[in-house]
Amino acid sequence: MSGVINHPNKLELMCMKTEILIMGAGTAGLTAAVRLAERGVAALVIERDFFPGGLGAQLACKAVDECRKCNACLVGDAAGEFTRAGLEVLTGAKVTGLEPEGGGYKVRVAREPVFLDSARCLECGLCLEKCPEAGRALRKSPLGQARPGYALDPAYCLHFQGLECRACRDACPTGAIDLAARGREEIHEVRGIIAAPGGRPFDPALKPRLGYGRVPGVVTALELEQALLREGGAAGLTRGKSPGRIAFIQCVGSRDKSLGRDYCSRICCGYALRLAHRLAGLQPEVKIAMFYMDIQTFGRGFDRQYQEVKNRVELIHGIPGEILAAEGGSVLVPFLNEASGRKESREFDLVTLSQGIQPPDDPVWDLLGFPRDEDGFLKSCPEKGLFAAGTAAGPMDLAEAKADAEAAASRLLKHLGRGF
Amino acid sequence: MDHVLNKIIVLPPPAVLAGWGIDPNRLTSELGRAAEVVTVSSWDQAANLAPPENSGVVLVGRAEPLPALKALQTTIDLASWTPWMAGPPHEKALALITAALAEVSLGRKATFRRIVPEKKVLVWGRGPAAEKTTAALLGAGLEVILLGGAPDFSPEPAWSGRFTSLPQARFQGLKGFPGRFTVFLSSDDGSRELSVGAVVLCGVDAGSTRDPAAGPGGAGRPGFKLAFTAGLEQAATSGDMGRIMTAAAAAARETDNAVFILAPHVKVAGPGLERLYTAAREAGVVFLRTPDGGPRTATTPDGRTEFRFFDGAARADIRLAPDFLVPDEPRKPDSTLSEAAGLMNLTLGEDGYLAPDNTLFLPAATNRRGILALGPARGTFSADVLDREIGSAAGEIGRLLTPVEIQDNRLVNDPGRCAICLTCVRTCPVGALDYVERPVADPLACVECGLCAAECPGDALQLEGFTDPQIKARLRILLERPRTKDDFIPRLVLFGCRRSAFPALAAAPTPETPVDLVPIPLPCAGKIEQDLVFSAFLQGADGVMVVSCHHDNCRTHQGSRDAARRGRHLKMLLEKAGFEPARLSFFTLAPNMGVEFQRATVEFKDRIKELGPSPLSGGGS
Repeated sequence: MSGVINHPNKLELMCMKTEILIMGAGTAGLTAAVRLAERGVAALVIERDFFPGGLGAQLACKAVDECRKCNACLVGDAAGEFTRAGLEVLTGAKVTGLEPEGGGYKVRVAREPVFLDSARCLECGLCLEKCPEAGRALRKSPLGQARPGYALDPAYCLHFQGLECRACRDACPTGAIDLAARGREEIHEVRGIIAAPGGRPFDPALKPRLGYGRVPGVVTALELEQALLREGGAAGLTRGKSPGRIAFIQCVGSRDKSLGRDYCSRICCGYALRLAHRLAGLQPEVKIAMFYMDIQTFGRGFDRQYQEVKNRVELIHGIPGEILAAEGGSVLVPFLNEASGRKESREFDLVTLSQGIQPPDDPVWDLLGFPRDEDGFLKSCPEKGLFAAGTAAGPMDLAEAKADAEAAASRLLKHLGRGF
Repeated sequence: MDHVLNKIIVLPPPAVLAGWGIDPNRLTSELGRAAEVVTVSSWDQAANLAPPENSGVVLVGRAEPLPALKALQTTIDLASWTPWMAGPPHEKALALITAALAEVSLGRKATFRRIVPEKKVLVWGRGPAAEKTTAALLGAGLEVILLGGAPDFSPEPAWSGRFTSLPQARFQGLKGFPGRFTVFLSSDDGSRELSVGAVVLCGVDAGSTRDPAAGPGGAGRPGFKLAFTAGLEQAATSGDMGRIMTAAAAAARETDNAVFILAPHVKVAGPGLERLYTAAREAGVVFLRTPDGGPRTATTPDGRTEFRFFDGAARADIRLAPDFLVPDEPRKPDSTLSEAAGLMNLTLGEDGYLAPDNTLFLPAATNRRGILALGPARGTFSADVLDREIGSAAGEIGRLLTPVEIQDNRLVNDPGRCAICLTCVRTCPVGALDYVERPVADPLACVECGLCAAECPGDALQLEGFTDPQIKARLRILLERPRTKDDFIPRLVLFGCRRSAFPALAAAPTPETPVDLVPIPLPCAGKIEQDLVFSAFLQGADGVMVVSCHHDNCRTHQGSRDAARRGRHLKMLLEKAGFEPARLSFFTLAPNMGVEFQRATVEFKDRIKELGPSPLSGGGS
């Protein structure tokens, strides 16, 4: 981005000593780090994945002409702020242990081998041009606003399959690629921890009757988001032909006591209605149906959006129990027609499962001593310096995750005695 | 005026340049006359350059400036931009660097000011939002004046020395800027002025006047029917749904009444609400699903309301005439909000709540920094959301009220050109401009969008980095580049918002057919001016595209609309002048719309290709 900028005037950059550990570099983690840095508190931000961004970086904008407030753009904004504040993420890192130490913690952080050193990488892209598995082994970050810009995934890299490939290393002009890099462990002393590992979308394989992975044309909402983000349409999900009949199945993994998911995931009605709006905008003749329990609109203006989409989408009350493959490659959805009281079925080209949000399952949170609420989401424990933020603390959308992280940062500042 | 004295170009190592198809030695010698050229092998090395005071630095091959580098900076994201430009790589890079160098050379030496804000906050409102906000700010160590609160409210005694309650005072106005506002209040015993650093508007939530708990209690002959409605007129909030379910479940447990909840949708999108729903049903509450348009109603001979509708889930025609009815109350903005908006120049949403309904204003921002709105003031009635808004607001106030050394000459007024028409003061979407002999921007309030500069009829106001000479120098240098000889590739100028258009460009897949784009970043698309578009055409552009954020997703809320309005006007002017208006395109994008950027740009290029070279350009020859 061009534009002359002067001294970073709105951010007093002081000599900061790491005081806080932030686990997770999604919308919540990035936002919390910036808010702390602005008050002179340095955070070490660790992320298990290759890149920052979290779930938010995989979501598509739902605007057709006007913003639909899906908030998918917020993670990029947060990443831009993060970079402009001079902050960086430690990727491929996780906590393996901690012990209390003088009112804070001594945390053991294990880092996967980082074959591409972001400190030396100038993001010139020359490695990507040479990589025979470009896009899989060598990847460019989906989030351009924060570093690292590139990463090497040994799971796909030919070198790590025993082949004599060093194309990327030989192409790198700054010597940023070290194929012999080893993992390492670091010890950090911190005075508080913000847990922001993000949401874990429900795995629809746990509801096998819905046909996911078995019936072609049944996809998750996340896969639809990714298709829209990467290809700008849904054709890639249905063998290259744009789907003309699309269904959304709501509450997959939500409001389901039998699965131990005795809560509403809050975000699914919002994203499904917005996805429907976007798909209808892309392809005016598309037919969209939505199977639902109750429409959960909340927040400003959302109900108005619902009233608009309602005219474009056929809303069918009740969640289908099973989804089948129909002849000719389409998807068959049997359901109860409430008006007639009869069982009917309908064919679709694409059936999207609106997966809910699950609590984090990593045992590390229990090891760290984070309490959980009755649904299993993380709770803060301010007296111990532990703060949970974002979707790991309960189902919420990206704007709420950002707000939650800001609130956690301000509570943490109070815990550190950085009021006035 | 103090211009930049030292110019430094930071280049990646020769091998990187060579990899990009640039001749490193030639580039260094071509640039060496105009500026000092430094080669770095990492950005950390660039950040540690420590250039002399009053330097301007061009960072080649990077998207974002380096916060640790104390100098004026401009960045050239070569790897993202050049695939969208036509011509040999070396020549594209040279042109971009030369243009950036021109921008930096026209930059001005920064001057700084120290601001020590007032650690006092005015909280205006009544109800849980105002009281929790007051407690949070007192807890953070600030002094709080609560205006219009409940007369009996008092926070923890430990904080009482920093708390003042003015339940009866009236708000009369506000002037000044974040960190040091002056608030004017009046009461029966006269008027007073207060200095405060920030203002938080919490609205009025006196609790529902029809408290769902205020049912008929145990009164109940057998068959007595008690019904609650939730969301028949206006979608119920999950907070209200929770209160209704709690009251209904208690009535079902404690009385023999038949208890119903009539709702089109059971709103359970909040912590614990699904469990509450299950518990209410287990207690015997019957949930009836009313149609989305609302049930029909009639009055029985004994004066009760009868609801008639088809409940699909129960597959039954329902006729219910409750003996006692507890209707939920639609939420409405309270009257203080429009009053506050008028007195403080705040933007209201179409729904009458404070702050534009714009994602980028969440969770508690208004269009003015230092003035926050939360809870009922912005249409929030759920406790969990409110808690986040308050936490976030406390953090924002803490940040704002921290003493800061801040640059105060980003926006500069040229007194020789200023006619003191005050268009800028009226235009500023964030209320950052004040008039003290001439218009002055407050550095804490200004968001550097440049809308004032775009509107200024005398071009007297200029935003550093995007001054008219800076943008025009860039435009001229990039448009002067030789055109491709053989085939006609339309030359398109991209005036793009740096929040949306340029990240979208960086994320876009490389175009499959050649495009000849001239990238001109703007601080906000609302900075686009007629003059710039005409300049582009007069210097040979075949097409001009202006790319803004989507409406309601613009950080100033106004810029994208300003851009669209100017676009319509410009198209009309072009048409009148006999110049094809199709050569000008205004569209909106989000920063994560790389694919859509590619699609829209290639489509525009193809359209211009059909139109042929601009009559004003020498292209295609």
